[in-house]
Amino acid sequence: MFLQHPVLIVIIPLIAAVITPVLGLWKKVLCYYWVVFVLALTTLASIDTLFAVLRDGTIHYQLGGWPAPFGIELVIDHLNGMMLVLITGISFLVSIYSYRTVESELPGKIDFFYSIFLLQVTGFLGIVITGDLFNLYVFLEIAALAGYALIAIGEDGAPWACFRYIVMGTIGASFYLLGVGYIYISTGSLNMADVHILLQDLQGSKVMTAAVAFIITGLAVKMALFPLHLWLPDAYTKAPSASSALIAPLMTKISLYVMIRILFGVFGTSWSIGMIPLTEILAWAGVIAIFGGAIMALAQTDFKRLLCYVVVAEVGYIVGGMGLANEPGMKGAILHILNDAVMTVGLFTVAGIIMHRAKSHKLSDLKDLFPKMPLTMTALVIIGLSIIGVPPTCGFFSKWYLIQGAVQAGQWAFVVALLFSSLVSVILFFRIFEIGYGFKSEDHAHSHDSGSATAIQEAPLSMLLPTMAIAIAILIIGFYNQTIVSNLINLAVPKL
Amino acid sequence: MIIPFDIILILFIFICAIAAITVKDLLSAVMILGAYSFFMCLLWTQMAAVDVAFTEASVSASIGTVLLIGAVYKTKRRSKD
Amino acid sequence: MNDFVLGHYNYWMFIGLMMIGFYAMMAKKNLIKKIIGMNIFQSAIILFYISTSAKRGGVSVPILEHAAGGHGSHGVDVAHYANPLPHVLMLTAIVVMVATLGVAVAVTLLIYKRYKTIEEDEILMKIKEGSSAPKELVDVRSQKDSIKLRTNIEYRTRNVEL
Repeated sequence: MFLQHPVLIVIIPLIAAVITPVLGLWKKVLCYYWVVFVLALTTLASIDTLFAVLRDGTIHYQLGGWPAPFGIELVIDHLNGMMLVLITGISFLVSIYSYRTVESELPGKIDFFYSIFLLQVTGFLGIVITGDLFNLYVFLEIAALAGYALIAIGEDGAPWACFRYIVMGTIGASFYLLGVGYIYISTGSLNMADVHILLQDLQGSKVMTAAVAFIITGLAVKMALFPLHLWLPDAYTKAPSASSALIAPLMTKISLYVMIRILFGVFGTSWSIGMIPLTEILAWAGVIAIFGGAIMALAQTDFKRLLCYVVVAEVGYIVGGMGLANEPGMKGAILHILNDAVMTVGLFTVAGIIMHRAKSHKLSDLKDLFPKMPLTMTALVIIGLSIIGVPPTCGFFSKWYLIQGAVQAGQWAFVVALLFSSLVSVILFFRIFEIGYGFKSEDHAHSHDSGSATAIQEAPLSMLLPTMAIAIAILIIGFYNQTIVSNLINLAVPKL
Repeated sequence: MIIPFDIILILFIFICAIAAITVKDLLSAVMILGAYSFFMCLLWTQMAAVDVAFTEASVSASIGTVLLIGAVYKTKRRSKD
Repeated sequence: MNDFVLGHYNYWMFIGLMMIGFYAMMAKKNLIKKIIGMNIFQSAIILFYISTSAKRGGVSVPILEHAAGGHGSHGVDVAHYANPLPHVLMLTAIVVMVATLGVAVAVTLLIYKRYKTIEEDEILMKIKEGSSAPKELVDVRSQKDSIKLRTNIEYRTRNVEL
C-alpha cells in the first residue's frame, strides 16, 4: 500500500469530489465532514511521502507499470515533496475554515462548492506531482476550470471578473501547450527527464528558443507576473472567502514551481543561463513586479484588493530570486514559495473572517475591529510582521537569502526593490493597524457603525482555529528555518 | 496529403474563421463556427487523423455548437460589433 | 522563399488562425464573439499538433490490421502510418476546449442575468456607475407568481364548468 502513495495523493481527492454531491443529497453538513476527512487523509499521505523522499531520495512512480519514456511518470523529489505538503496542508486548513463562510455566502450550494473545491485540490496536486509535460497541461486545465467555477459564484462583480480571468487564463494555458508542442516535435519525447537528456544535443536551436518563450509567457499569465497580472485583483477580491483563501496562495506559487521545474529541470542551467540571458530578464521582471505591486497596493481602499496586490509583489520576489541564478538566490526563492503561501493563506483567512463578521472588506470598515476580535487581529499582526520581514517570523529569512543572493550576483536594483517593498509593507500594515485600533479619526463619521458594531464579536471557532494555526506555523517556520533549509531546501535547489 | 484538396480546405477554414468573428448576427456566427469545426474535421481526416476528426465532430462541432446556441438563445441575438 | 512559405504551409496556417482567434478575444466587445475567438484559438493549436503527425505521400490511418509483435513476427513499419501520439494528446485537448467553452458560456449567462447586456463597453459603464441591485431573484419570483396565477384561474374555471 505504501508504494502506491504518490498516485493515491491525486486519486483520493478526485474520487471524493465525485462522491461529494451524492452525500449532499442525504445531508448537506455531511459534505463538510467528508471533505475535511478526505483532505486529512491526503495530508497524511503527502507527509508520509515527504519523509520517504527525505529518507530514500527521489521517488519515481510509473503509472500503469509502463516504463519511463513511454508512460507517464510521477516524480517526487525534495522540491515536489515540500510543495505537496504545502498544498495539502493549506487545503486542509482552508476546508476546516470554510464551512461558516460557505453557509453564509452561498446558501444551499454547499455540496457543489465542496465538490469543485476537491477538484481544485486535485488539479493542484496533479500539477505538482507529475513528471510529464502534457500531463501537466491536463492538470493545469483541471485546476483552472475548477478555479473559474469557484470564483464566478462570488459577490456582485464576480462573473465579469471571472470572464476576464477565463480569457487570460486560456491564453496562458494554450501558450504553454504550444511550447510543449515545439518541444515534442524537436525531441520526440514528453517526459521531463528524457527531454532534459535529449536537449543537450539541441543547443542553439531556434525552435527551442521559441518553445521557452511561449512556455514562459504562458506561465507568466498564470502566475500574474507584473504586466500580465490584470486578472488577479478583480478575480480574487470578488470571489467567495473560502475560494480566495484556497486559490490565492496556491495558484501563483504552483505556476512558479512549474517555471522552476521547466527552466532548471527540463532545459537545464547551461541553456537557461548560457544561451538565452533568461535570468537577467527574470531578475528585471521581478524588480518591475515588486515596484508595480507595491505602488498599486498603496493606492487601494479595499482590504482584499490590497492583499491581491501584495500577492503580485510577492510573485516578483520569487521571480527575481530565480533570476539571480546563484545558490542563495534559489534558496531564498524556494523558501519564499513556502513562506509566501503560508502568509497569503493567513491574510485571506483573516479577510474572510472580517467579511463574515463585518459584512464588508473595505479598509474603512476595519474601524475598531481590534478590541472586538483580539485573536484574529493578533494573527493579522503576526502575518503582517512576516510580510514586512521582522526577524522571528519566516518572512525575514527568505528575504535575507534573497538579499544575500542579490548582493552576490551584483543585482543592486533587486536589493533596492526588496528594501522598498519592505518599507511599503510597513506603511500598508501599520495603516491597517491604525484603522483597526481606532487611532485615526475619520472625517466621515460612520453612522451605521454603531448599529453593526454591537454585532461584531470574535470569529467562530471553526474559522478561528485555522487562522491561529497559520499564525503559529509562521512563527514555527521562522524559528526552525535552519532545519528546514538544511534538510529540505538545500536539496531542492536545482544544480547551478 | 492531396495538395489541392488541402489548399481548398485551408481556404474554407480561413473564410469561416474570419466570417464567424465578423458577422453581427450571433446565431449565424455560431453556425459558421459549427461549419468551421466540420471543415477542421475534414482537414484532419485528410491528414490521416480519423480518431481526432470524429472526436472533434462529435464533441466540439455538435456539443460546442449546441452550448453556444443555448447561450445565444438566452441572451441577445444581435451584437453591436 | 518558396520552401519557406509553401514548404511550411501548415505552420503559416495555424499561426494565421491563432491570430484571428486572438484578435477576436481581445478586440471584439461582444462576449459571445470572445468565446468564438477562444474556440478558434484553441482549435488552431490542435491543428498544429495534428499537422505534425501527418506525413507526405498518402500514409494510412494508424490502425493495425493484425496484431503485431509476439513470437518474433514481423514488426510494424512505422513509415506507413501517421504518428498516433499527437492524436491521443489532442483528444484530451479537444475535450478541454469544450469544457472551457461550457464554463465560459455559463459565466456569460450569469453576466447577462445581472447586467442585461453582453457587450463589454456597456457592462463596464454599468459597473462604473454602480448599477442597481441584482434583479434576478425578483424576475424569477415574478415569473413563478404569474404561472401560479394562471393555474389558479384554470382551476376556478374548471370547477365552474363542472
